[in-house]
Amino acid sequence: MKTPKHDKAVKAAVFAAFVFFSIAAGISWNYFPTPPTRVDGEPYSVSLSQLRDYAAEMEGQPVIIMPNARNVSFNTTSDILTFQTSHILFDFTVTIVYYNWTENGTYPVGQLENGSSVVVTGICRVESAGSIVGTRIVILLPENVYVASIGGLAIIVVLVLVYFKIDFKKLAITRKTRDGVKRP
Amino acid sequence: MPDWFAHIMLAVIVATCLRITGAKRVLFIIGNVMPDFVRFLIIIGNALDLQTFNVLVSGPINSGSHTLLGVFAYALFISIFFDRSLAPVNPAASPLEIQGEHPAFARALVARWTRATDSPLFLLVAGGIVHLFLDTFMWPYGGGLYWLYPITHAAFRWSFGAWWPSTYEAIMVLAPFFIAAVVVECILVMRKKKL
Repeated sequence: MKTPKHDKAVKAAVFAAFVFFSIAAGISWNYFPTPPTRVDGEPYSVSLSQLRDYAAEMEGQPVIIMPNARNVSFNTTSDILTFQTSHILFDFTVTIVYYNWTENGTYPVGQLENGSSVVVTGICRVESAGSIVGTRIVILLPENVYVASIGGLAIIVVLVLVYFKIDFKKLAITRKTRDGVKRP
Repeated sequence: MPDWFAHIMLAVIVATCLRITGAKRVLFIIGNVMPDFVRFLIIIGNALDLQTFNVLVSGPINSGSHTLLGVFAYALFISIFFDRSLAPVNPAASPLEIQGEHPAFARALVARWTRATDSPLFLLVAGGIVHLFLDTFMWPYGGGLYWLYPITHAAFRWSFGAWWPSTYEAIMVLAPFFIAAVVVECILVMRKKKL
């Protein structure tokens, strides 16, 4: 049973509306972020936009941010690891500081590089010192996921080609067999 | 996001349990990776160093796709390309008929399930929900999934807090179940051949 044309148009319109809504919501949350929220005594999980607009409310509060690290530097004499992150849309930079890194740090210094995606837990001092005093850090390695996902993509392509026939002119994908009989 | 490999493994496990087979299984698997399709935009954005594009376009679209509303919207769109129903022309050829004597409600249930899985939209939405379920295991702290987007209060950001994205823990946890599912599939195929 083929999908009627008007049905396709409605589905495409709903999808397009959702995509535009997502983009609009994303833009609005960047420029006009909602106040940070949390459950019970957990740290506030905040974006850089929220830190910028609600720095006063967040001062002294435990926060979690997920920035890309840049300007990573380690002071061997004072044992302090620092790096920075900035909002791509605004002139807003936050410094993340870890004291006694060699004693408390989870990773060897070399593992944290410029551009690393990290999850930082710390105490917000953005209003007073422009920094977050870090307590925990996790380095994410998205490349791992992409490498494994290429394998998954290959499997899906093969499966689609085995079970379906793709008509590029009509932009339609139909089953190759029905009731065990191959379609012409 | 656990990688696509992990999502496909879980899709195969669920499909085996629910007896979703053949082309229907392929659609269910597509549904299982569907919310991550937009990652291509992020990869392209990163490759071309379009950070503003990623912040304002790819990122928000990706956040939206990992929600119930998003799964439904994406499933609607992808179902456009498929026939409205995957039902066999001859109903007797349905692979999900139950053999032997079974109570009427069991037969009705199976018939209803078969009809539901004839719809690509249903399979894609079901796959998408399984995707969200697996993604909810991520983020020991700091993240989670907004299943009920656009509600973004922290109370509605859900995570089982099992592992970080970008690790292979999902694959390792799913591996024994996946192997068991493959073994069951092999046994069923061999049985069918004997019949």
